[in-house]
Amino acid sequence: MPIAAIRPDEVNLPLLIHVVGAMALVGTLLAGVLLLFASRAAAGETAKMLTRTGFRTLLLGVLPSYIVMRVGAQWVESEQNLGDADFAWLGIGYLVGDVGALLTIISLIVGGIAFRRAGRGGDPPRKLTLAAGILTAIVLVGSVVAVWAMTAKPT
Amino acid sequence: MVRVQCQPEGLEAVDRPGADELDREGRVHHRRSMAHRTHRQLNWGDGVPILAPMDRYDWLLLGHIAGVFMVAAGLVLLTVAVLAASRRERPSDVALLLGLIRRNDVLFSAGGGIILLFGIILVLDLDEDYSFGDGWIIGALVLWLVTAITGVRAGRVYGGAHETAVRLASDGDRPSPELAAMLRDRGALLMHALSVAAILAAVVLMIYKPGA
Repeated sequence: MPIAAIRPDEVNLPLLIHVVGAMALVGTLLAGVLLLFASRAAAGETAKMLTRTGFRTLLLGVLPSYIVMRVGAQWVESEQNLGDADFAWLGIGYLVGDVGALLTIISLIVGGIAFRRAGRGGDPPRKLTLAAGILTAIVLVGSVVAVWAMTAKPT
Repeated sequence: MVRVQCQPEGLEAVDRPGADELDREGRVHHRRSMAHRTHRQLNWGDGVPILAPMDRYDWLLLGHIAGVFMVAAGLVLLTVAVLAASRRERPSDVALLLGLIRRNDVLFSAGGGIILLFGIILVLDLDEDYSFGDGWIIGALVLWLVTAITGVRAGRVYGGAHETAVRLASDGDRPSPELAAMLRDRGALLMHALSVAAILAAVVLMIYKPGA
């Protein structure tokens, strides 16, 4: 039976918010990863510019998208009374969401330090930029796994 | 647990760990930590997560949605790159930023193709529930076409801007009004905005399925 046939109408709006947030999250994570890794390979003013853009993408793109996605997810759970449900896909979603939030915050802090040092005139520290890029890449991979779990609902 | 909405009025919630909540209908909502819930929902009691195999419908839906995410990721990437590039003056910076999206056509064309292919197979497979005559499916196909046309047009302008930036970077790397005009091209911006709006409208149709 198609999922649509068993989904109550009340879930549509929170699901839309959740899906749009997830789409923006995957896109901004991809942009952040590319910018931070490109920054590590560059030097001088170019490295600074890429670090700044990468950090801004995390701060103004990834973080708001994550909040929209997570609020939508909680709203869907609330509408469908999934609080006590024993579904593996929901567990994967929580795991990826919660660990992803933690890693995103860490990569924001690490990226922020690199951003500040770049702003003071020095070269952005490559190790910090690499660390922020790797953490963001891990969150991106986790998000792809979550998309699989949310779609295929393997329970 | 944070309840964003649907917190029934008059809920008698006891704010301490481990307490249960009782809503108006008398349903009990157990308050548990997120870590406990994750552990329980993955069925890690015996140390091994239990995941049921996916059936044909699951695979088709996964393919369809993966395509949507690929196109959406491409659109977001293009937005970030163009926004960042339009704030830069040096052609080498612009070339580098727009260079990040030079493989974007793979995301768009592969994602767009996957959306269409898996979407058509889904409709054929679920012929008792859906048909190509359904308004929301026709609407989704039209929106797919709009996304494709507008995306290609915007991509052409920004691809041209990338080529110009590369040329100018190797020719003195001085700021150029021609490059700035290409990055602020209203037509390309409109096409890009239309493709974003079309994919969002398609997602709305997919979720609400009006008339289904």
